[in-house]
Amino acid sequence: MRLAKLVSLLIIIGCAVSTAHAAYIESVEEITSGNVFGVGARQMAMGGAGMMSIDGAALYYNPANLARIPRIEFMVGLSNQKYKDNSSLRPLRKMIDANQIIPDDNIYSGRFAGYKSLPSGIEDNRSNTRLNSAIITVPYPTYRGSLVIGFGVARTADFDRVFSFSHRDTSLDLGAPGDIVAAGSEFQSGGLYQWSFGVGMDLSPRLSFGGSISLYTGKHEYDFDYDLDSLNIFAYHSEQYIEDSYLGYGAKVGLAMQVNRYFGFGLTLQSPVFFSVDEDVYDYYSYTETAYFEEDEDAYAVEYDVKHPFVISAGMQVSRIGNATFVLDFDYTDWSQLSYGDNVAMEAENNNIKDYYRDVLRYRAGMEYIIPAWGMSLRGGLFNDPLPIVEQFKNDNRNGYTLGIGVLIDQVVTIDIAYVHGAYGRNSDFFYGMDDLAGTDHYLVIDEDITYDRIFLTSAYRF
Amino acid sequence: MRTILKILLPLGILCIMTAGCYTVIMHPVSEENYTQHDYQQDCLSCHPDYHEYPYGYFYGDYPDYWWDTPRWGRYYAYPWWWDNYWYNGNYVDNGTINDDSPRSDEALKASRRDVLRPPYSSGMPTTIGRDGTSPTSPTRMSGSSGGTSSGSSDSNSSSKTESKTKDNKDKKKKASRRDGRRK
Repeated sequence: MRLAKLVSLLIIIGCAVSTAHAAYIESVEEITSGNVFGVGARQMAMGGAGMMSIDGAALYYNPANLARIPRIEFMVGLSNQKYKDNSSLRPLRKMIDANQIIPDDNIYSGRFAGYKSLPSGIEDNRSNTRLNSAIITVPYPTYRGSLVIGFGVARTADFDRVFSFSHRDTSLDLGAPGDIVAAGSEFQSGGLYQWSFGVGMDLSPRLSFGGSISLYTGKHEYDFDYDLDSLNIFAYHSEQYIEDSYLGYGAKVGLAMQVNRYFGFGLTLQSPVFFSVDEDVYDYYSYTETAYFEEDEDAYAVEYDVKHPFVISAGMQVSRIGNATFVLDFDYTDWSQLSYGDNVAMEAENNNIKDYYRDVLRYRAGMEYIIPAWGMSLRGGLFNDPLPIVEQFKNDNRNGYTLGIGVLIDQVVTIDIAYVHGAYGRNSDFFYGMDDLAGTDHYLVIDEDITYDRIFLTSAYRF
Repeated sequence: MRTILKILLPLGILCIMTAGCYTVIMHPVSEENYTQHDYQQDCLSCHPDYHEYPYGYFYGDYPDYWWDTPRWGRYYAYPWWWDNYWYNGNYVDNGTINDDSPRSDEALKASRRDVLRPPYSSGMPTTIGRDGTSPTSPTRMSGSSGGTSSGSSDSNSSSKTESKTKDNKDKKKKASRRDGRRK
């Protein structure tokens, strides 16, 4: 009996090794999708609403509002993020058939019907401080209207993440210490830097128009270690290191209108952003039994293109309510239109995109209260930034609150600080093995409760 | 690359088409020997209603504290090219008025907390020193820049401008406090 169980176990592990690169639905997950880190402490303190803001960050939110900047400005900002991931492993297994389709969320394979696992959870966190933005805006002297040029770089997407999980599989009834104990840790870092050049100009006393072009550069480093041990029987270890280099470009056009002294609104259209991704992969595994050892490593490179869809944004501002200003921004993106190109294998994955991505409507709302005599601004806001993935992989939407304060020193310098707290929950499939040689894979479901705390510090000098 | 050109081409055409429709970056040449800088410094010579339409301001919300408090008004609304810098050749320090300076018991006192008033929108207009020579008759400016621009090297131009100055002085309304915004 014990021998039969061991044979089953070896099938699991052996197939795990042989199908380590098997494609499944989350192979289409792109870390750049729906990944908006935020630019400018003033905007981030107001929930991330910046469509009607009149500082250098307008280059990224709505270039039409560059036209509202009357002085030469240099803005620089830093950001700090503390990222915390609390994972738990549901003692469930999903069946994914040979066509990589999940038949039903509640269907589990018969082979693992008797699967038992001890509940487990693990928390991991990391902290990073990065350059957030450096933007210079130069208004050209005008006799009427406005013409302002902006150039800058901002870290608009963040890849700094951490994740760990562990579980003990008791379904083979081997008894401790023979139970299967597995633990994995994932470490990611990097981000996208968006280099932008933009122009804002007045089309009428109330209406401004602006446009910007952007070049995206960045790197994503991914490191995953996984150990699966059954004490006294075998040990399996795998490592994966992936480095993605991004190069992309896109453009944005916007309008801003001040309807009256109380109300203004803005509209922007972000073009599809085209990324060229250059990926280097290194894989390693080892399998050890009492009298047997096997190891292998592989290194290869992949190139592919990925195209982000249009982003349509609208924002409004109500001001002069006492010394208070209220802002509200919306973004609409249909992430199911994300697509791959320039790589046959990845283009084949385009069929799976609609099964994983959906369209989302983000909103950010905030307010600012000015204390003129002190040169001080108090800010707060809320945001709802839905994950671009379908409900099946989403546990809790991404949302949070923001707080901030700003000071204006001696007519020329602003210092703004923002605190952003956000949280969301998601789940992902983790390949665990297959029950037979027919090709039916089995996945564990890992739930992640993620919280992040970000601090933005921005200072601007107006000459 | 073709895609980005598809986006940029209409954008560029739109910018070219719209430039000059409202936003004006070059003053039409109306005075011989006037540079663009001269036009910036001598608005009232030809535009006596300049204070009603202070180009450089944008339409919209100008909260009261922008007008009342220098740090807000200057930071958010005062174009940098309105500043009268010491190195532009026309700057005269107002702080040199001595006890012998003539006093008036009829003029209004100087504006306070009037940080957003455009230059040359009230009071006496400036005379322009086109070659940057010393001023012949310094005139005091109101406005936050606090500078005085004066001087002339051309006698015809000087007399012409002085005449305009006198005319405008007679015709202009008194300076209003905390004004300059468009009603």
